[in-house]
Amino acid sequence: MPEDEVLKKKISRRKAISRLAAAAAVVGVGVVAGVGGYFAGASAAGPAQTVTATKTVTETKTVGGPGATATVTVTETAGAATVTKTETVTQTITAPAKTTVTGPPLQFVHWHYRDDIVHSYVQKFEEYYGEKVEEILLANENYGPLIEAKFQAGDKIDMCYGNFFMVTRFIAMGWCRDVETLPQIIQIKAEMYPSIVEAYSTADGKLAGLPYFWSARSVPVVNDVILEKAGMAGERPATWDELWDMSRQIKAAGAAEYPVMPHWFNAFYGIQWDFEAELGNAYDDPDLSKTFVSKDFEPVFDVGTEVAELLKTWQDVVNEGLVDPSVFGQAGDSDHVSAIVTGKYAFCPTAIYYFKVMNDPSQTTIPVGKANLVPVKKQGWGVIDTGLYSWPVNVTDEERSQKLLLFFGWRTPWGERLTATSWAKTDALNSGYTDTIRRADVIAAYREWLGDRTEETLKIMDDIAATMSRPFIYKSPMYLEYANFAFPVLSAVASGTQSVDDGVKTLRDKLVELHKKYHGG
Amino acid sequence: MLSDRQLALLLVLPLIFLQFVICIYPIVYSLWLSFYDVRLMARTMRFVGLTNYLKLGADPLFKHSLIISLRFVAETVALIVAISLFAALIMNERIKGKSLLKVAVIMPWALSEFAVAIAARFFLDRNYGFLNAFLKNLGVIQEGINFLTANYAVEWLAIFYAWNVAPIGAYFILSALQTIPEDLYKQAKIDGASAFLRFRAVIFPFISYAVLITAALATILAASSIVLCFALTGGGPGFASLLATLYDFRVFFYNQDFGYGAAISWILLALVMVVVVLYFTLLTRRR
Repeated sequence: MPEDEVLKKKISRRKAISRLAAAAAVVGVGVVAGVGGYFAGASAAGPAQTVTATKTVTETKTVGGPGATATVTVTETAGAATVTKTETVTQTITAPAKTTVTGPPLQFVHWHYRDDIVHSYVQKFEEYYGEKVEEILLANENYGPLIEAKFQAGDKIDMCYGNFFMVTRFIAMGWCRDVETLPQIIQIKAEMYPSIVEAYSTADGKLAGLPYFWSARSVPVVNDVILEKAGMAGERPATWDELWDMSRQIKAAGAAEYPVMPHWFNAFYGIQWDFEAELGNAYDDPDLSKTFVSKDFEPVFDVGTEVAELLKTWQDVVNEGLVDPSVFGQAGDSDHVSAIVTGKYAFCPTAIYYFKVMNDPSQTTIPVGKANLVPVKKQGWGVIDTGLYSWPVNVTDEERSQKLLLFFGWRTPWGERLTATSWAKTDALNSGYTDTIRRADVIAAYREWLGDRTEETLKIMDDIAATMSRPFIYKSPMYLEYANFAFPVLSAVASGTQSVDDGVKTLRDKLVELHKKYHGG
Repeated sequence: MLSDRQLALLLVLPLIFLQFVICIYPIVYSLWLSFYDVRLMARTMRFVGLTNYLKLGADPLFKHSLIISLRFVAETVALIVAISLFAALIMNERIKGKSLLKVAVIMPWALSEFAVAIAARFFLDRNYGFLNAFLKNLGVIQEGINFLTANYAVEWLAIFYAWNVAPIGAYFILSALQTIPEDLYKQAKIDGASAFLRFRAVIFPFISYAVLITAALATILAASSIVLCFALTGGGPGFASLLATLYDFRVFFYNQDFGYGAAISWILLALVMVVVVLYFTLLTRRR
């Protein structure tokens, strides 16, 4: 009988009750099976699984101090070309017999991003260790305040996401710890990009957490359609100054009303991060300690310094009509990306993880192959966008939380770099580990949407990792408070409603106040 | 066996408990907090008396955000009352498709402030916004207009907030309109009263109470609004649309300056209370 006829039929009370009973029985069986499965899963031996891993091997050497060794992968280079040898390793792994985990579930706090994928990682962890993990998802916009409220309330948390500057605060407050006590720490650091180790380390040089991802914000993406219209096909700026000069030519040629959609939206991760990117890139000061805030967290800028010069440039390019002023009314990423994908701009400094969106014909009007990263030549591009797995102090269980941390932030017990590889493949998220981007399966995943631009793009990403801004101020717990204060000031200065000198003084005064508050200066 | 009074008390008890936990305790706690200087890093809590309140006078951002809030509330209330009145009068007429109209009027009320912010973005955006596309298709403009400028961002917030809240006012006023005896209309028409005179002499005395309630409600809601501003403009460009509520939120949660944040919220509460008391004085007089 067709379904609509069934629905139309009047159901008698008896039938309704019997159907309800049947449904209840099915649900009951499901619940019993689920609970049984959980306990069975927790006590029985784990399933055998075949893992195929591809690794890049070039040369290995042993490093480390007394009693500590680590294997480092060194990429062999011949001239300008990188020579890598790729071998595929297939292992059959049988998970060890699992013991029943009797304690309370582990608590994993994270923000919303591809929750389905995160949950699948959690399931793999649970399956392998016979564990139970409770995921606690906090609203993205207020993640920092919300998780700090949990810490203050004394909640047990076994692992949590955090941007580096958040984790700095968590550690300073005594809620989280660095990961230097992990037995594998030398190996872990050796496998990471040196620049990421430096960026993810506290002021006293301790790795604050394990890498979830790194990305760079305010990395210019060029729209070649507009460049072709302006008769500048294939040209690329090597510096921010060159980018503004090219924009002037594009505007003069009538190829775009506003050649640039800057990363200036009204959020600290918008215009504030662009400021950090441009300052570090343009003045060759990646940690911004010479031009902005010293390694003692004191402001080193004033009226007439590089900061003022940069802000003056911003006002000039706004007045020249090189940037779309609607950016000042944008509240966040979604507004910004929605503008970029209209394809109206020649240059769109943005987060690297949105680069995939700009190359996805279902999400952008920019023709395939026409949105490209700008190579690193005379200066770096962008500012680091950080993501870490942080290790709280007040955990459910020391050993169990450590396993969770390593599983997510380093390797699975069978040696697979599970999360980093998956993120790279599914979402083009950059990994803190150098080998991820060199894996054949990751390269193949990039090739699916980048085609023959893959090698060139991955090379640019590697170069960006080494050269982007990595502000030292992130290592101070005062950063978040400063950033939330500063972004409207920068927006007001750039849009011309506040003078450069006023803006510079306002920012400097705030930093002096915060230095006193947080560092007793 | 419980007496009626005991049973009633028992039934109300959970509500009182919830009210205490969710409302009364946090309110009292925030008042207490406003007299302290809380330093999370140093883990200290120092009694500072009225210092946090005195600090407000020297905080230019607070003063700025307060002015923005006053502007936003004034514009929003005016718009809400006007739209509500207009919609109620239309819905009170004998017109075709009245049921559909009633549904259409109430729909914006069903949206959360966040959804309104998204809708506003799709309406106003320079690149893909409806309004720009509409004006372009009419040939009124050649290039997209940037509507969310420093000069007009607050006005756009007020328009969209009013669109969101006006339906409830419209229904308040409609219910009042429906209490007006039909004979009064007829009599006024027979006497040759103009439409304006009919409104002033017949309709308004009956609905003035509902209009005042609408204005009071609109004031309270607009003064406590934060999400629309947070999601549509983020308080910008610059500080151009920074409402006092958003500023307070940033001070309290982002800066974790709990004492000062609590003091701001108490000042805002006091200001709203003054206005509401004013409304209710008017209401009582009317009655």
